[in-house]
Amino acid sequence: MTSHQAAIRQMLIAGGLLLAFTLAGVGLVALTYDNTLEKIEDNRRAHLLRQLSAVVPHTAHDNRPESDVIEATDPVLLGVNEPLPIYRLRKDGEPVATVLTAVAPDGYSGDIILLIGVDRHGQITGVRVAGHQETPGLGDAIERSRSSWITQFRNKSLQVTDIDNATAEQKEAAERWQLRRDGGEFDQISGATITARAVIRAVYDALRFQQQHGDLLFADADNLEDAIAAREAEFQKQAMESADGPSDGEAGDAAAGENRPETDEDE
Amino acid sequence: MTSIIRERIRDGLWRDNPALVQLLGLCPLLAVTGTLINGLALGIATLLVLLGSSTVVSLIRHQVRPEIRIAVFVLIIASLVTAVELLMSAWFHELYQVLGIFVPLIVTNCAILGRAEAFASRQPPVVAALDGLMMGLGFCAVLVLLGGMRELLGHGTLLRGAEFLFGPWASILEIQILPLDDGLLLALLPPGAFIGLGLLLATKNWLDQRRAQRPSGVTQPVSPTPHSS
Repeated sequence: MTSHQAAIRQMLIAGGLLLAFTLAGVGLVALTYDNTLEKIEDNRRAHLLRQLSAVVPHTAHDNRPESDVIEATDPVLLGVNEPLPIYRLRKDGEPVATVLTAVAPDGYSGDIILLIGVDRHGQITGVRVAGHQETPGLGDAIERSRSSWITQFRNKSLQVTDIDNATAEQKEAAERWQLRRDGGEFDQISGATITARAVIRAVYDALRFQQQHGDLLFADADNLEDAIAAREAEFQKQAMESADGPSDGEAGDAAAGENRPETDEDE
Repeated sequence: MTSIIRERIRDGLWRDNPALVQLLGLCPLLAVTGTLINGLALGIATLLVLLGSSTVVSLIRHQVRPEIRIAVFVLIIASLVTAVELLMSAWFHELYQVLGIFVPLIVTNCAILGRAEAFASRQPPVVAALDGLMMGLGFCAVLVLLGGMRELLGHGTLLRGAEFLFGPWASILEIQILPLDDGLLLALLPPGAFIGLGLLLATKNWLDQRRAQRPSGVTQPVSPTPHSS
């Protein structure tokens, strides 16, 4: 009986010791966390702002894009099945440009994360790579610090409003979004064709995404899905109000038509 | 006492070097040594954790019971690594992003747990701390050496990215030594890390053998520094 009790005693002591060390460890981590939290947040923000100012000149806007964000999920055009942040840049409250986060999933190794600045006219203000695992010495030429390859996206735009109903000329414009060796107008990176193709494709898709949603990217919402739903609800409301007016579908078309001249104007 | 100190220094830096002799912690060693600065940064982080864990383990060696000692060691190491990770993110943010997952992975560096179990838990705090410091320095030296070799062959530079560690002024520290446009790609890829480590191991063994072949009698002065600094 006593040996039993002794064994239990031993266990309790061991458990107590473990608990004490756990608490001490948690205490240490909590203390460090508390003291570094602010600094780490500052670092993150500064890092993000540095990245953003590389794709859109910081003189072009006067808001705080790090806190003016809308999230969007588009596995086809943005590359991943997760919500990605879109930073909105405004000057005097007016939309100036957006910085899209897009992922090129088909690089040579792993995802290539891109930041793409697009102004109100659908023209690219700059592209930078925010993260990648491409081969050092070959594929990493997409980094601005290694080569100027990524800068050739500047001032490029789609020049096509609707890819499915495009004229031959517009299709030709779309085909220019390829490497020179594939018949396009982009320089290659020697030894890293796959990487270069993936980046061009991702930027092209991101532009299409931007064009698809246009001003909706500046909507007052936390994510794009909410913004789209809100707009649709508004259309329906309008349709309801003009009860003997056009039906829902026509109202939607009318609204789409309403949007279109604006994008045309942008082109 | 001086002999103990001397032995600790010799063991950590040369005779029992965690990377070259014990071959522990190879995962970060091979993964982050693309440049000298990356190696140095992870080396310093590991050094801090090793110094801290050895000291604490030694301090509590009479309180911890054998049956829970490993759990306690792991707890101590994990807490220290998390603290170092947070500090690094706060003060060396760029570098922290370059090293990425390998900072938290210091937890799994067996050199640290190995030292706690095999040495620090049986020695007084001062000796354990010295051992942790020297083992950390030895590990850091190999990281720096391997990083330097790979950077030199791959980029032709040394100290690239020094500004991440020392602040903006340090970008002038980067020196172009070999006029390379493309560099030796192999050196930057994982196989280059293995080959580089193999060459370092061979060099160390060769030096040891040469010393052993020399007529002994006079005690050789211990001078690990020329190689490992």
